[in-house]
Amino acid sequence: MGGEAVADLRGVSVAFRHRRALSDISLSIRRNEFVGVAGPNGSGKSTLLRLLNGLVAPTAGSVELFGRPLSGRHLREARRRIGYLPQHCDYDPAFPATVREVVMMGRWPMIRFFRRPSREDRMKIEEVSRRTGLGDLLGRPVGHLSGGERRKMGIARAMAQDPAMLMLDEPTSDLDIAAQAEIGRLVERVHGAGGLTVLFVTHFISHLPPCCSRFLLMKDGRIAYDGPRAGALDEGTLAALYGCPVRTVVVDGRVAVFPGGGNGTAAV
Amino acid sequence: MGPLQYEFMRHALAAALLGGLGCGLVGVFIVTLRIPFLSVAMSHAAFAGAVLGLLAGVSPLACGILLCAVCAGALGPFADRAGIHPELSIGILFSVTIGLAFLGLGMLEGPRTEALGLFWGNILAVSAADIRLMAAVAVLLVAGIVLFFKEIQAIAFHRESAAAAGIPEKAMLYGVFLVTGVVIALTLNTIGGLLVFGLIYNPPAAACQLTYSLRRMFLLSALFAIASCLLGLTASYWLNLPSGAVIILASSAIFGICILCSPKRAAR
Repeated sequence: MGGEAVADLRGVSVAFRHRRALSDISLSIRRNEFVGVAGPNGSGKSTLLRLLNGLVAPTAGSVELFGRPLSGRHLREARRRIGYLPQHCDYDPAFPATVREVVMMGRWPMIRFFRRPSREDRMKIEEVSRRTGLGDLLGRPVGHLSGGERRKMGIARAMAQDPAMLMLDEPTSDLDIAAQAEIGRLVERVHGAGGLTVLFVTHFISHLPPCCSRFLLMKDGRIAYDGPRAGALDEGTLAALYGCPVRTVVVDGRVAVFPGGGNGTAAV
Repeated sequence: MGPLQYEFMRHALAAALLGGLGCGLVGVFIVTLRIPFLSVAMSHAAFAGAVLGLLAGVSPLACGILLCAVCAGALGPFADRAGIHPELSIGILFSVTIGLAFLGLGMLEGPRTEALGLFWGNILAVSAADIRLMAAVAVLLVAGIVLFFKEIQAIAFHRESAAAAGIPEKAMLYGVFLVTGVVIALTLNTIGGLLVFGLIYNPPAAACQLTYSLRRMFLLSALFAIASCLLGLTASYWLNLPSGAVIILASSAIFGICILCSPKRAAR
């Protein structure tokens, strides 16, 4: 793995009162990588993303983003370069805003206090909306969107920041399979345009798009596996990760994981 | 000569305009940030401060504002450090302030008319000093909303996304607590501590029925709150009815009309 390091974590731990969410994490994420982060509930996936944009602080170890320590003045600068889709994007459907206004919120970190969006900002919104397939929805109130459209809007908002790194926390959870596929294609498309590092967190390995080149499997706040696709899909590795026997089936470059496996059968 | 020939009516008119403007605007924060209990707790903090002021023989208004400011300043950090939801910390604050208010009431000697009057207010008894203070706060509030509109919009839509993008979400939220407390304290004399939250909820809730724009919601909410105050003032002068009660009933009637005429009804 070559290229400039976007994020560097050394011996990082995060603890909330009496619970340790991350333990002694060391990893380096490089420019243009597509990293899929998977693991069971409570394994620390979301905390890892929240750590990387400074929403939680490490209790031990060091975090560097874009070559500088993640603290103080640099934190604000680093956050501007990270597009983030939170796991619980549970906004009020009655909130008075259109999709255009929400996508424009992605530009706010770039616009100083007391300033209004410029022509360039508005053009950026149009461009991002075209790329994310939101073009026809820009004038629609946010309360009139489906689950898949909401996630697309969240991704468009994150992309409006012109990020160097895009962090998506469960972007496909609670979506039907058509919407899951659409979000997967969308993320592939924005990553394929080049220069963008993507961290895609999911419970389900099958939701990771085929372009995902590096798998980070987490368990109990630790990295259980960090490497290429082939090793991550090993049934023994996944069985240890989820604590139950599993079967894997690969279809068109995607992998589906099923519980069980003792009788050697799997249904797709 | 109309009623405006009297100085107290000119003061009352100014109080209706400024009190309505203040409550209508902070109400939008309360509704969009989904912290409805804040106005109840703050009105009781203002009432407790005023009662303690009466007990100590100093300005009830100044003490009301001071206690509101202290509570607003303590709320956010208390919620953050104790690791509890802001609504829960507001509930605890409510318990403390209502306890203080009734303790103060119990310790007051005499008929307690002035203290009990703070429950329902009297728009016809507002002083020139109150008006000057209300005007100063209204100017600061309008300026703050205009200057920080994009940050307010981002935080009201989704706090975690705003924080992740580098918007100083906590500082803005604490500012909202503070300004809500001060505006409510200033309306104790006009609308009353028991009734003010009706003027905080109803106008923005009515405005939200008519628009998909936060900017218009601020405008409509201020207009509805001012109209309610003017109706209360008129009823108080011509029909000798309690102004605070009529103000709240008028704002409730406006909400009822708006929900019946709402274009959003068809979309629900």
